[in-house]
Amino acid sequence: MDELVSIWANPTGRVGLIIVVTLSICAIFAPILAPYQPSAINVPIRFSPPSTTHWLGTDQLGRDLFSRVLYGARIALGVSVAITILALIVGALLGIAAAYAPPLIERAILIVFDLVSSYPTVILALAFVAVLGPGVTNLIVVVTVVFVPQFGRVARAQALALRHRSFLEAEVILGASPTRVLFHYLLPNILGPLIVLASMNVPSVITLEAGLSFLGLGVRPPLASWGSMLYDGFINLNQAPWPVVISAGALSLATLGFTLFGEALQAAFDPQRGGNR
Amino acid sequence: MVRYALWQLASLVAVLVGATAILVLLTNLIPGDAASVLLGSRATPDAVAALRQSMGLDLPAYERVARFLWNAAHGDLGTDVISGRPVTGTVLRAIPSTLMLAFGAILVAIGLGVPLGVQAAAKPGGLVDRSTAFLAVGLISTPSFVIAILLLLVFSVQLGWTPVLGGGEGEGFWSQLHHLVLPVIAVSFGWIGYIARQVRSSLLDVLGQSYIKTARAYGLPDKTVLYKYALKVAIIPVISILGVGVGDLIGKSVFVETIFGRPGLGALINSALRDRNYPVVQAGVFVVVFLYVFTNAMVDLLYAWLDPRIRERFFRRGDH
Amino acid sequence: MTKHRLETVDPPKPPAPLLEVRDLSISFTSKGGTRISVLRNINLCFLPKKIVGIVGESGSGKSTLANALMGLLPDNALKENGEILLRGKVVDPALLRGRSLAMVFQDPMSALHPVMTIGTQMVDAQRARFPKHSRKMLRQRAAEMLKKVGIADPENRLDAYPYAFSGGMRQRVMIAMALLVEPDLLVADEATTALDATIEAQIAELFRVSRTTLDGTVVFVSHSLGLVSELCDEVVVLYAGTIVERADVATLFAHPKHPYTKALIQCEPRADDGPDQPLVSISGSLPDLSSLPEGCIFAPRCPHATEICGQKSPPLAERGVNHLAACWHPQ
Repeated sequence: MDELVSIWANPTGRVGLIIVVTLSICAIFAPILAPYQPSAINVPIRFSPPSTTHWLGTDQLGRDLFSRVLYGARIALGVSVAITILALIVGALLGIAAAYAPPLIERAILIVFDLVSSYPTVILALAFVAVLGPGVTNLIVVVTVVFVPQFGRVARAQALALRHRSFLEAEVILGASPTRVLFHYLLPNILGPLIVLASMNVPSVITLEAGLSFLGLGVRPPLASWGSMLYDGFINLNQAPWPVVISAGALSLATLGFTLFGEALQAAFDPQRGGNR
Repeated sequence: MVRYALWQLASLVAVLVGATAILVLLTNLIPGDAASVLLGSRATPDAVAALRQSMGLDLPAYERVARFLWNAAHGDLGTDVISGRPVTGTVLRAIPSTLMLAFGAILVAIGLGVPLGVQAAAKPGGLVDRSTAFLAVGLISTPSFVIAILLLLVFSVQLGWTPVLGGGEGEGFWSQLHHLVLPVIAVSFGWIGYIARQVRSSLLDVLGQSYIKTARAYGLPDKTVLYKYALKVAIIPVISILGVGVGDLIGKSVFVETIFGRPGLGALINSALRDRNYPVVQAGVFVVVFLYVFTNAMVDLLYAWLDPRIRERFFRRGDH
Repeated sequence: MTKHRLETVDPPKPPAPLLEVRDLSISFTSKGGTRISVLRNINLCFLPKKIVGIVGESGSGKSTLANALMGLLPDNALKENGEILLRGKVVDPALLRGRSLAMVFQDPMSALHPVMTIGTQMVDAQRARFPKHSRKMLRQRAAEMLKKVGIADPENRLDAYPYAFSGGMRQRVMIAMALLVEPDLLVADEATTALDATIEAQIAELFRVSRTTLDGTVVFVSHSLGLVSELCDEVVVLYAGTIVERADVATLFAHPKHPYTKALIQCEPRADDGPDQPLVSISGSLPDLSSLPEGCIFAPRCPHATEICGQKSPPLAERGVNHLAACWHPQ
């Protein structure tokens, strides 16, 4: 946990940490913090600017924007963190497999990684959605697949480096089972760089989720994603700018916060590289 | 150099074939009858049969991929589900607009990013350096479609400086340029910051090298040392980023073209998705991947041409 | 019919020094703000067509001295005192780089620009010295000089990239570059240290031969006493930033006066040492340069130190013909 301490000491890291924690609190405690139901429609007061009753104003259906932002945080953070963790696990398993498998399987895994990477991220996601259809579950599957190769390559590199370390061989000689070696010895040592990569990737995942929801291909109403909120505001841009500004602000804040946090985390784990700003 | 180029070409073809295979075989992920699912509400028995035929859904996997590639090489990228006409024309017509956007964005990103990075490296800790570092993070992290909408809000809707919709087709060069301004800014925003940072760190690395000391030891003026000796080496790693950049830019064009109402590959794929016009989606994605892989190969070649050590190392090791 | 005239001949004047260093003191400021004294009261005289060796261990300040002579000190260096004079006039060496001053670095593998041809670099190197010459002329000079330093087929080699040259050949290129600008001072900073033994001998020979081409002084910085004893006319011994002894090469090695010099000479393993000969080393370590002790800098490690050595710093004084040593008890 002294990584957290050094993040706090880093001025930009501190800002990032504060934002991340604040957004997490919003996401977790949304039902308690939200003054209104996010899907409570109230057409007469549509497009109202920020006021004492509606802190951030209302959208095109009169729904309270502040509540929608809070619930949107649930989607943005919840979905993105879920995706990132999933991609990390799948990537790590594939990567370790590639490091220990016979050359043919290793080649096959690497080729799959390369081929997935030969697509621009958004385009690959769109291709998958075209086939699987919109919706949160499909969104999670699609975006996870897109991010697996990165984790896979890092995991493989780490596993390869560790493979030749004598303590692993000693363990095997002493009769430790492969699963024990995997979970008890291998994973803890690989996890560090993977966690750093994960934190650096969260902003991209948030962006991709928001983007797909913006296009109507991700989270469906009545669930409030910041991306779909942005779209709602966009098509009504000439009626009122507030919905756009609010959701844009929320998204920017989230991506900024996680980027600063991720960079500070990387600097904490690897001081030599972190200094190169 | 020629040998290296040939090797790159072979690589390019291999990757293209593999990526196309993934694309063509995506439909295997669909549970049940792929053709009727893809057509959705338009799934009449005739339409389903026609789609199955034109996409070769009954064929074994490798035959489907080979068939698609063969057809593509002959200019046939599929049949439009709605109009029944060949897709190739639609897709090809969408390319120039997207390329203009991508090209413009690269120019802006390099034109602003490189000088900022050079200035930041020349005086580390100075005003340019610190403000660039600060802006870079903000620029890089914010999603491009967010920036696009905000720009649209401020400059088009509120201030009326730039047109709100369209690409200005058929209106002459300057009008088209006018329509390009906001989209290019939106797309290049993140890249300016990223390139500035890369140039800065790359240049700082180079400036610490012995051969820079040699140049200074022979009394070469500071400007010459910076641009002729240092930047020439420092810029090389930055060039390899450009390959990835193009792919990223095309991806962003999906949003930016939709937001600004511009024609282009991104808008085409998006609208085809909505219309459940799968052959158009497939063709559009294929063209995007082709452009992406091609650009990366070109960038690799440029990289090897600029740095003779890469070629020499490649052939000495005998591997890739 | 030849006319003979008895001309009054003046007694031969000692040749005027080409380059002088007067009372130079330099310190570095570390990141934490501490001031480290790297060079103190350096006084040197360089005569034309001489090869002067500067010897010392790591940390003696010899590289800093080399850089100071060239005006290539890093940003965190501070000149506390002193000046450098060229032909009697105070100069800023940074302005003379590539004209009166040239340098050959230690590592030839990294000293040349990797992505430019040798020819381009050699032409660029001459521009400060010959700004009016055309590129063709400069290239011509470069080719001729390459031949002089022993590189065959110079015209074609000019179009090659550094990676095509071995370490020894790259160092020849570096020497050629230095000779091309016809400097008053050629500083060789550990120019042979990174080379194999056989190549080292060849490059040292190249420096010796360069005396015919070069009118200026060669300053040869090295930690190898053997090399210096063979190559140089005069030797300066540096310890922890001060000159402890200075003499003609023969005198210094035959009759070293300063205990440090004596110890250095003894430390060098000799070819005729028997296998049982114990390796000699000097006890103790370099002083802390951020807080220097009073008195002689070498006193803590000196076997002959007495009370006065710990109290007052000995001046660099004449202890023989053209032989200076900074010691209260010269041997």
